[in-house]
Amino acid sequence: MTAAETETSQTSDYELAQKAALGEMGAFEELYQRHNRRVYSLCLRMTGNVSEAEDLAQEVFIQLFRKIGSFRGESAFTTWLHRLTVNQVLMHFRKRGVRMEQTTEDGETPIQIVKGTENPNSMPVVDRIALDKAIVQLPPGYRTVFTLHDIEGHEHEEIARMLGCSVGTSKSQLHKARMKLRGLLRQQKASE
Amino acid sequence: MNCEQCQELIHDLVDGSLSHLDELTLNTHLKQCLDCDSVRQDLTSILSFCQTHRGEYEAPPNEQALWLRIRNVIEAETGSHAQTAAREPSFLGRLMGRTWELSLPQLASLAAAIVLLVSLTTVVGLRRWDGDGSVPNVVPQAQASNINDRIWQRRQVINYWNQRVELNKTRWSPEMRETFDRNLKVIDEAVANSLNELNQNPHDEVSEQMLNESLNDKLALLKEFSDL
Repeated sequence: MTAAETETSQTSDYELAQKAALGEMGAFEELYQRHNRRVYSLCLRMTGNVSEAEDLAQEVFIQLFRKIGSFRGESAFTTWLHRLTVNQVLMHFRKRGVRMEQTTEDGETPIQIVKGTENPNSMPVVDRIALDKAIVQLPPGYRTVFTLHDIEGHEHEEIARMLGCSVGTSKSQLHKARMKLRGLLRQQKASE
Repeated sequence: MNCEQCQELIHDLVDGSLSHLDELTLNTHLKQCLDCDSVRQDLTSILSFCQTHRGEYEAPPNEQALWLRIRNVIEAETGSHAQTAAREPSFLGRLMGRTWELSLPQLASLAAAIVLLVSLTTVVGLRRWDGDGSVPNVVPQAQASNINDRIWQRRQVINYWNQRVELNKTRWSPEMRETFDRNLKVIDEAVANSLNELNQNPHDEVSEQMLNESLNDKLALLKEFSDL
């Protein structure tokens, strides 16, 4: 590692943000290199679409550049950027007219187990490809809550604030999302 | 406990938020019901996978190309601002750049004008200090304490540009007027929707952001058409 690289790796996100706010593109590029995967992955998991995720990640970094002067370092940069990303995706959903509270969006009641139809020995093998494939098939409302809670690790209170819904709605969406996901994973397993 | 109640509680169980008593009741049911136990195993497996792989991120299809697109947009934005600034020197800049050669009467008039201006500013300032009810035309951004203040400020600016557009409107062709009205209608609907969302949930950041964007769009539209 060169001296310049060592210096860069020691520079905090906050310092880079301050430099970027003064118009230093090098500092902003470093922030991009550090965080683009996190931003893109979140966009991808929430939208389930590669090109939409790429466009949204682009929009997030453009917004980040516009707003970076307002980052005061009170919270971690990653938290701030995460919030910016979630808001950008939610705005995208609203513009597309996607309803976040979809209790009957897919015309299905929550999946209930009918006695005798389940084989406890045929546990689906959860792997990244299978899970990603199943997540993509979730309705957007379910996918958003599942991504924020189970993948990103947010609490229901935070999710309710982000989505502008009640904690109960967030919980109910998550439960339905998990059950639907389980069904999709089992379907995948059965069709193999 | 029936299966429906059990499957509701399984989520709390896998999240670790179930009370001890409920956990005991649930476990009793799970020991007797293979189907519900299968749900528990599957959800535990899904959740455990998610937790284990939390923090693993996927790269965009072409990171470098994405960066170039972002940089191009940013540079186009910052470049246009810089060009505008370079093209239009500020009033102060123009004032300072000039060579001033004034005669004695001109100097006297200038001094009188300065005295008059200072007096007027003082009088107006004192009247406002006394709180005579007059509303300042422009409130600085820093003083805007809440969203309503900010919206009010933006609307003042929009009103200004709206008036300019109204003056020019008579010269427009019917097609141009139709285009303008159609665009304005779409933006006004977006503004109304965001305001409605904000009324229902005043802390909704997304609605606030969408409102800001819609007001920006309206301002851009008015500015564009005010020159036509």
